[in-house]
Order: sequence, then structure tokens, then C-alpha cells
Amino acid sequence: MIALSPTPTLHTARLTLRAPHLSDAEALAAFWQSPRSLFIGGASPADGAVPSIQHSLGAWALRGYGLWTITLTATGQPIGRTGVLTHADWPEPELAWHLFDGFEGQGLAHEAVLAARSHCHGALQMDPLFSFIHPRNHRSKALAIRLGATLETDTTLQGDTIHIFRHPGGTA
Amino acid sequence: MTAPHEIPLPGPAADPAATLAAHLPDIDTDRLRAPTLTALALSADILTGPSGPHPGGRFTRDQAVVAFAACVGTWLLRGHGPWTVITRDGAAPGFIRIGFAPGDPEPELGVLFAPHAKGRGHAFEAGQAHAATQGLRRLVRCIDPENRRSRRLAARLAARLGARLASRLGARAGDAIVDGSTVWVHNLQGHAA
Repeated sequence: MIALSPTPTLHTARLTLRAPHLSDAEALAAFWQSPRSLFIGGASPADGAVPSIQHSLGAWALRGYGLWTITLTATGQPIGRTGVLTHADWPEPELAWHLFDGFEGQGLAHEAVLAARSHCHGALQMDPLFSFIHPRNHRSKALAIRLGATLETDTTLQGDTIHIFRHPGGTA
Repeated sequence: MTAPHEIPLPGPAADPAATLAAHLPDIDTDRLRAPTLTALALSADILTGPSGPHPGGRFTRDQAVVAFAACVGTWLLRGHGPWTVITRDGAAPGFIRIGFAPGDPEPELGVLFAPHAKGRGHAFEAGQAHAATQGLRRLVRCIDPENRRSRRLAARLAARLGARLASRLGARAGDAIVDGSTVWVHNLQGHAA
């Protein structure tokens, strides 16, 4: 296996953000089967987890940026994903995040996204990123605001109205 | 047209493909190169075009982009994946790869070429070089029985119809058979470049 060299490992007080790995597939599949994925496409087939992990790794290799798996440093347990997501029908690369079941309410997403965003705006020198957020995804909206992002405009994505939140630049 | 996401980001993120290339197996040919974002655009053009090889219908642009990036991702997960094929005149008309999708019985040899580049022996030549660079004893290809060009290529590359493997698969998971594909087995032992 080739070293996962294009994906940097980031450390925060409680978390380690690392390259996606096949061992994340089970947790990712469970997330997609749960109502928690409703606002980001929802109910992907369980066998989509491995291709999704492959896609993330390929994105890092081709583009130099992509998604990290967020893990608890103490146990190594994967608790979600964050980083930059690119799709052909996206207007720009997106700062994305999702937490798996059972890890909300502890500030973990804030901690992880802040680290990812700082890396993208700092080390990778990316322009201020945006995030798509479904208008009914109140928790994600609250996190975006807590991260200092502001509602830039609304647009339509796959037939649904969706908010575009713009993040402040810099490495705060 | 090249979409914005198919253009490398300027700055420190610009050279991941070089990183990937530095890690690819040493290939004794100048005909196979590490895939780049440019290659991603080409693969998306082929996969969304009229000769897109997907039996279930054409890919959307996004499906094609995701599929190709995932294909590149197998280099990092498994140590094999796609190469861009370079012709003698320096053009890059397509790809050759060893893939291993969920559900595949074994590593599979795959080729993907732009319509204008088909029939010129590029896949054959690349297939030979490719086979010689891997430590694998054999590879399979699942081919639509109607795809005469691919069947002919498999035969030229000295692959045999894997009747026994096919029946074993049919009795077990049977993906290759259920999809209507025939399984060809490439025996790579003694295969010279």
C-alpha cells in the first residue's frame, strides 16, 4: 500500500483528523443509513461507503485536499468526517462536515471543522470556503454561525433550496 | 470545457499528483504515467460520452468524476490503480488500470479509451507493459459479451475465458454473471513486456 502522504494528520485538544481508511466503512455506512444523513443526501446504500472512502483518498491524491476522518485521539474511534468536498455540480470546493450518532453536544464538530478550515485557509492557501447547509438543518446552521460563517445567499441544489454560508478566511 | 474543479488549485495543494507519481510502482516504460486532474477531465469526457463503457447507461459528469477519483484512491488503499496511457506522439488518449471494486472476485484489468483512440493497439501495448510491472499472478476482466472490441483485446492479450471461475462465481456471489458479463482470465506468469 502506498503511504497516504497527501493527507496531513491534524491534531486538536481531543481529536485527530486523519486520512480516510477502509476501517471507517462500517461507521460511515451506519451514518448513511440513519436519519442523521437526511440533510446531506441521505440513505446512501450501505455498499457506497467503500467507494466513498476511495473517492476521498483519490481526491487527496489528485487535488491535494479532501475529507479527513475525525477520530477521538484517546480511543481512535471514528466519529465523523470534515474537510473539502468537490463535486462536478458544486460551484466551488465546499467545507463539509458530518458527525456520527452519539457525538453531538460536546463541541467536537466545532473543534474538528476549525482545525480543517485553518489548514485549508492556512497551509493550503485556499480562498475562504463556503458550506452548503439545508435550511432545516438547524444544528449545522448553528455550527456555521459559531464558526463565524455568514449566510451569503440561497441557491438550488438537486431541486432543493439550500443556504450558502461563507466562512471567514484566516486560520483562527 | 474544463470545469473549475478540474483545474489544480494554485499554491501548496498543486503538486499532489507529483506525490502520487513518486509513490507509484517503478514502471519500465514511458507509456504509463500517474493520473492527474487533467486525466480526471478526460476520463469524465469518455465516461459521459456515447461510448461510455458503463453497461447501466451513461454516467453523469459528477458520477464520472467521483468514479475516477475513487479509482485513483485504490492506489492509496491497495497499491494498484489506474495509469494514464501515453502514446508515442505524447498524447494521453486513455487509461489502463488494475481495479478491485467491492464485489469483484479478483483484481481486474480495465481499459478506458477515448473513441478516436480505439482500434490502434494502445490498450494492447499498455496491457502488456502493465502486466509485466505487477507482482500479480493473474488478473480477470469482466467483459460484456456484446463488446467485440474488448473480447478481441482480451484474446490478443492471451486471456482465456474463465469458465470455471465463472461457474464458481455464478454459484457463489455471481456478480459478473448476473450483470451479463463474461469473465476472462489473464495468466501473467511469464508474461513479458
